[in-house]
Amino acid sequence: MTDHQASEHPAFSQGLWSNNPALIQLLGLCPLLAVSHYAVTAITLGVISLTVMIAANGLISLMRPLMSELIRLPLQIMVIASLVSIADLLLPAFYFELHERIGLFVALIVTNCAILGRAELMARRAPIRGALLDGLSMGLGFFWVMCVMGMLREVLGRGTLFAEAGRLTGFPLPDRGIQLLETPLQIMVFAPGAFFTLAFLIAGKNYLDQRNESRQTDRISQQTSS
Amino acid sequence: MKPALILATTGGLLALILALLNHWTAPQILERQAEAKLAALTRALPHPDETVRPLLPKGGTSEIYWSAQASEPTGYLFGIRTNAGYSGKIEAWLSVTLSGEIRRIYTFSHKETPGIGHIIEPDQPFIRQFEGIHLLSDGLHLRSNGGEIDAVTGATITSRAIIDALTRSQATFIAARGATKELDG
Repeated sequence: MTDHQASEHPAFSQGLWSNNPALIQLLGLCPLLAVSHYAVTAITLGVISLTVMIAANGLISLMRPLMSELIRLPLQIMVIASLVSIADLLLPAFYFELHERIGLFVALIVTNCAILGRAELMARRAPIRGALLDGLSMGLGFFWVMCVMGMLREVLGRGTLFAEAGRLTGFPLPDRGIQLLETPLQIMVFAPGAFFTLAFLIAGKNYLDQRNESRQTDRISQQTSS
Repeated sequence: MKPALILATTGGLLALILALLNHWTAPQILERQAEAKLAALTRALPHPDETVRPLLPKGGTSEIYWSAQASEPTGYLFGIRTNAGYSGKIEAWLSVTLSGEIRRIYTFSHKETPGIGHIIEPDQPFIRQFEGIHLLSDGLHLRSNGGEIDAVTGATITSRAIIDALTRSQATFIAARGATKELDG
């Protein structure tokens, strides 16, 4: 574990796309699958995970001098668990009903391997700036997948978008959400729908990647032949 | 520094932060919880724009609420329950006028036979028969027993169970009325 090595921190886009925690590393699937049936719950959990991820990476990076081999894992878990507990206390104080919906999964963020994974791989070796950027990148990567899944599943499964968001968050939105589909496919809001949606997202990402790759190789072969 | 010392210090510090935060958020969470509960209770009332506030929370075994429309009291709201259902417990919210006429029975928990027991669910014709009958009157019996209620064929036990729940709640209504008189006096 040398600072020198990690200071060449990976590109910011890694977390968003090429090494996305949800689509490539397949980490943190428990909350991703469980609360993505409504856009409002998915986005809330996404925001909390993002915040916890950045804060955990920052704190753990600051605690680098204390992280000896022997105690680094308990220390990291302690920091992450405390941050999650803070979120779990603050959320019901401001948005009680929202917390009623996703409360269990807020506490479960502790077990989100994506967060411990970043702490272990990145934050405990990197200086603060790199660690924060890494948290932001990975957190945003998780967040956007969460948002897309929540919105897709709600539209396909309920026909609405942002239903109950107004009541739960206080934003001026109609309580029934925006009606988009007349005959929704109910299964999409149940557990199988979560797996279908994630499968299509992963497949879609792989398709885009392959297309880009073959275009690049085409371009290279054209250049060499001309 | 020794690893054990580092772990203990960090743990202590984090615990302290959490304890302080908990100290600050706990009353707020309780407040939000009470608000959410009252908001959920308004669904049990006949009119959607009515509000609910506590009347008798302390001491007694049951909770009694005021219902009001535009700050004008419309009656009382309290829980009723019975174990005399066809398959056990039936629980509902009962809304009565200040004088004791039944306004609405809002059943929220029962295990009656599906397809038959649904007669006690909110806004079903059977359960609406009770509206307007005084909680303390003799009308609160099946027609065969000299009352005003038509039992549903095939669901006599369920029908009787609701009457049982209502009869058991008479004391709650009397307590509510008593408490109101105290407030006035």
